[in-house]
Amino acid sequence: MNKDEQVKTSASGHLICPRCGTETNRHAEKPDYSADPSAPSFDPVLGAALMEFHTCPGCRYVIERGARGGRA
Amino acid sequence: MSTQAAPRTKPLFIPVILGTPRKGRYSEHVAKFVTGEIARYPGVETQLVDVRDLPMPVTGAGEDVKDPAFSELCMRADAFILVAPEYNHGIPGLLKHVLDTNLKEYIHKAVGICGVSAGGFGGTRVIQNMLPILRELGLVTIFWDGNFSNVGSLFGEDGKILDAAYGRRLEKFFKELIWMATVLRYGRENVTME
Repeated sequence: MNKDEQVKTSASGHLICPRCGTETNRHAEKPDYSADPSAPSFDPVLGAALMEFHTCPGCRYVIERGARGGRA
Repeated sequence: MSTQAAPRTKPLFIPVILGTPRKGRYSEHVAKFVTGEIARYPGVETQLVDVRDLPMPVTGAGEDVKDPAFSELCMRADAFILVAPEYNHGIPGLLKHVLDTNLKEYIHKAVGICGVSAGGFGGTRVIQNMLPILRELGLVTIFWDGNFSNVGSLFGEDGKILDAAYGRRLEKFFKELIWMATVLRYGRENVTME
């Protein structure tokens, strides 16, 4: 249950669940104000790193990772 | 306009969290009663989780001290029922500590609160105090609450509730929680934020 997991992406752009291989669904974002400003997901407009949450419909696993392209 | 129930191929998992470790706690009777009542609903699985049983160091901070088994349970859950006694109008310290150990496991899941108090207000003040905390954890609260007043005389020596009206009162609470859990599970699994 790591933050910022490295997982595969499907051809349709969804993250692949590392437990069961099902395409996950990105359904939430949250700012992380404790993040280092040098983090790739740090967004200076927000003043925080933007975290994404992806739920697996197959096994309910949740992936948390920094948003890609968060830096403005 | 006609409506129909959303199909649920998987049962909803709605654990009940007993939020106090104190000796002599009447909230244990409440938690057992609530667990038994929610278990009657078709398509719902439940489990009583006692914060007293969680190996939770109090010197760590938030997710640094998460218990893997508890986190897995939270990840599996579709909704939560929190049984919270009111201590000096506030939330029990250990319950707050336990809740703080997870985040992603809660996001966009439903939560209902059963307040417990020695007096006649049914834990309304602890419920109100918990709402902003639960929101920040990503949980979605419901309109209905469970309010257990005068808890010192509400249960018999065998732990059975003495006022049968509580079962009827909780029906609305359970129905809304199940509705919210169903809708949010559909959203988590199918509605994409882009």
